[in-house]
Amino acid sequence: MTLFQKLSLCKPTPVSLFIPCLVDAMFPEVGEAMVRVFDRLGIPLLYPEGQTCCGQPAFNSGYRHEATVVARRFIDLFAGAEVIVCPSGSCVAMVRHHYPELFQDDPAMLERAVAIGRKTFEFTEYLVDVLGVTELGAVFPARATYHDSCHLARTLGIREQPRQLLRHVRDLHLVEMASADTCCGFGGTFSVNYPDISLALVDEKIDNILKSGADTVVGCDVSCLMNIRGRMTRRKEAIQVLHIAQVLASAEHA
Amino acid sequence: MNPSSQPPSYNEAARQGLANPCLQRSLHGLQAHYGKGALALWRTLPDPTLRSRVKARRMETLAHLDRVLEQLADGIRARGGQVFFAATAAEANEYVRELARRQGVRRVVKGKSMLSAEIGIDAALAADGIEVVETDLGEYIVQMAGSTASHIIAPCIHMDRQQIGRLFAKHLHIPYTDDPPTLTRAARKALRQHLLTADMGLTGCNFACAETGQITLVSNEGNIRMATTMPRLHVALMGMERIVATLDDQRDLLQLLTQAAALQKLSTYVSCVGGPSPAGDPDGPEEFHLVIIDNGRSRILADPEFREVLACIRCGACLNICPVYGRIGGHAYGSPYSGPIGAVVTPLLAGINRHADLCKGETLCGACRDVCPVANDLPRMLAALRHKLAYGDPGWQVRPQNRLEAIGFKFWQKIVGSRMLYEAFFKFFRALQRPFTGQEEMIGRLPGFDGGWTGGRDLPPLASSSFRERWRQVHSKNRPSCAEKESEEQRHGG
Amino acid sequence: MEDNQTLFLNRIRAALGNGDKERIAWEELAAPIDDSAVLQALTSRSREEQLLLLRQLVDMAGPLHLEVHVCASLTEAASSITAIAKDSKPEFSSSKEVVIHDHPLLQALQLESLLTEATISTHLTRNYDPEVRQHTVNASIGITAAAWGIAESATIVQLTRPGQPRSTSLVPSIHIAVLELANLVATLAEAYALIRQEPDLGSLVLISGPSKTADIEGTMVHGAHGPRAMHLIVLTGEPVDDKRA
Repeated sequence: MTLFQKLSLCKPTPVSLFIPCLVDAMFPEVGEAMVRVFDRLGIPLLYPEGQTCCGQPAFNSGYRHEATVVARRFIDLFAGAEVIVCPSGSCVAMVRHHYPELFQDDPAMLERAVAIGRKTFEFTEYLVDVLGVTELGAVFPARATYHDSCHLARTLGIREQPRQLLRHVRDLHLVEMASADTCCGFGGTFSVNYPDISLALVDEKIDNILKSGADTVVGCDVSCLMNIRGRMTRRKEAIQVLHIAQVLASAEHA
Repeated sequence: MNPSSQPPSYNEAARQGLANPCLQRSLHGLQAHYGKGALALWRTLPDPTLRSRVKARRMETLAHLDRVLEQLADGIRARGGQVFFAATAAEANEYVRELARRQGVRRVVKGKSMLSAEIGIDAALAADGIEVVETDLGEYIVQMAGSTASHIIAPCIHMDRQQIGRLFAKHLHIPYTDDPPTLTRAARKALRQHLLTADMGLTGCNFACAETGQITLVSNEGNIRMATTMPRLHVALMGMERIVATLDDQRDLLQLLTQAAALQKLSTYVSCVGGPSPAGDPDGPEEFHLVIIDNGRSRILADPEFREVLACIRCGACLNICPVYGRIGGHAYGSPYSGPIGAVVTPLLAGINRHADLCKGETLCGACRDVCPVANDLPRMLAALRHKLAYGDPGWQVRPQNRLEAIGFKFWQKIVGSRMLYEAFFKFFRALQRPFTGQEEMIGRLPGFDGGWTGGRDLPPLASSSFRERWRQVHSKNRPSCAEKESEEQRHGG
Repeated sequence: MEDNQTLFLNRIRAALGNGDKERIAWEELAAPIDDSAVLQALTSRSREEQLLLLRQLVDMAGPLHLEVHVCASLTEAASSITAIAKDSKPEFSSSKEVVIHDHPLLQALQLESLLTEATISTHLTRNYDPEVRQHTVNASIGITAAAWGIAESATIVQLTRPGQPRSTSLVPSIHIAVLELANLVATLAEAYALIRQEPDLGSLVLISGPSKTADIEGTMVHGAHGPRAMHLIVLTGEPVDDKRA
């Protein structure tokens, strides 16, 4: 941890929580876990309650007009935020990389889009790169493997930070699976429109998880985790599927 | 592209590929070795700026494509070669047919060329009673099987040795064997006669070099060298974008091509030719014809969103890394160009609506962008194609592909545009889902459009309370920072 | 044909939005390269450095099934070639025949007498000789002299010249190439600097071993349509020829 980072923790910047729609509606415990982690670090939190979605589903399906309307709302909503943290690589990639694309023809909005991208971080990225924290006092006995989600690993280049955090979790033994960064087959509406291909991909992901000998698979994107878990239970496999926030939030008396 | 009778849909063809154990095994092996191998190569390049430099140079060349093509044509003609500029597939085919007629061509030997499949030249020549023999082993095998190539570099990857053994026993009248060296020797013997006695060699062109007035042909088998050395005529088909300005450019691209395609420092053979054989030379050809083809490429060139795709050097690395291609195989793409590059270039050349599944049937995972030797951003272009399909595009003659989906997203925008509506919706579906939640609280079956998910997967239910509800009820209490911000939010959100 | 070209290039100019712009000078796109530094480095390489390159070539050649024979003298080279020819089995005909490039280096090896002794007929690929093609098709071995060798990829460069046609290294089942140590360079870039110095550059081919294919189930097989075996004779003795053989 750098001196600057240590000083930052003394007077920490308030974090505005950006909770993806899937987390809000289906996996609120992931958001809650992230809150517990930040509380443990003494980070003041804000939650702009008007937030709904970053616009990614529309953008990925080509509906850029709708995505732009939603993006504009997001930018307005988070205008006052100093720092925005989100437990999802794909949402952060949307804001950082695709928001500027949406406002190419609008110089004023483009500037705001670029600015918001600069202050939006993925959860593990914020912990490790900005706060300089890898040791959170987490305890989670498990033999765990980590799944690299596509936007997180390739668009944002975040691969080491989640692994560093997991290595500092007490009683957690981290094992690498084969092809950890191969797509799990979700791809948004792809999973519904091209189900046979999607299933083949998630089956291969699950086979790799099983081969690794892990009893737990951890990831940073609930969309991937929802996909993997959904197939896992259908195959009646007993592997735990968790978001990294849930692992990091756990403690001695969890 | 030349479709035969009604081809299977992308999903149907994908299912066929998924059900082919030989294809699955072969592609798995191919991807584990070549795809991952290429990624590893890029990580250890002595010059880490090579790919982006080469990309920049490709784009610069494309920005002056007319000048570079002009220089090439001058160079070829100075070597005694002939150059024909074909605006369309039909023009290219007509030129070659006319040449064949004039020269009394009865038999043509071919080097592997995706462009030849794109323009359908085999059928055009066959219609004139000309025998066309594929000489690349993989292409020879698929031709024998009455099928088409399923991979840019390894055409018969979808067939196993037993199938090939049976094919050779039937067509080459040899005792059945499934031993690859024996089968290869049989093909070598059979094709040697064709290669030594054919009237015309028909090849593609890996890239042309304007500075030297030559084309570069890359191979491992030696069939392309044979086809361009022994027959008295050589016709090379060239996509207009497959050109570099200088010898140094050619060298950079050559080394990227052989490394990306097969992890080779160089392929076994790299031939550079630009004209007929000199007088006194015992080898052919007496005439060299370079057919430079547009067939829709100038339209791509004109569009800044898609011009980048013309930088592609057809190495096949994206096929070797794509998880979707790796499961469904090349035939699912319904085009000579398969894999991620095929998913972009096929709709642009042959119709975006017609190939809507190619635009949408990927996860946009980005592995292809990582592995591309010239750093092409294929996911960006796929997203751009989806954008055209969403609203239509008169410039590209696209009509909106799915009105229901468009309405769905308009509706979606209204919902996520208002926190109140969003929450109302959430509460409504939470109530509705109760009869569907089963074992472990997961939804096992959901009727209607979501059957695509629950066919193979369970769906987690909507949570008993949303994050926002929990924040309000539990987590926001006793937070000093919240009290100030809350009033600010009330002015924005809602 | 001219009309075709004009229409075609105009369509491209329109696509690029260059319609009215002036024609760019070729030198702007293709600045001439100064190879003097590279060429200087090549000529000043010591024998030790050349021998290191040879070691690299041998290492790279192994996996490519390129057999390298290091010969200290012309006599040694000639007897290696004769041994290869004696051991070989003709593939497509009953008798053994050899075609040889018309090249001073190969002349100096005096192969004809040695091979004739072993009842192997030879034919020189002289320019304007109408019989060369038939002899090449009948031959089981083709012998050429390489212009240069490239150590990093175990490659030889064959330039097409009068009396040195392409088919000699292609049609016979076995290809034997002869290279002088002084003509061995390190990289493709160095070879290209040399290629750029060639006046009247005709066709050329870079060859890195015998032909091969892995089209059947990804199984590598050596011997596809080109030669099924390739030998490279490297002469480490006194140079016979200058670099511009």
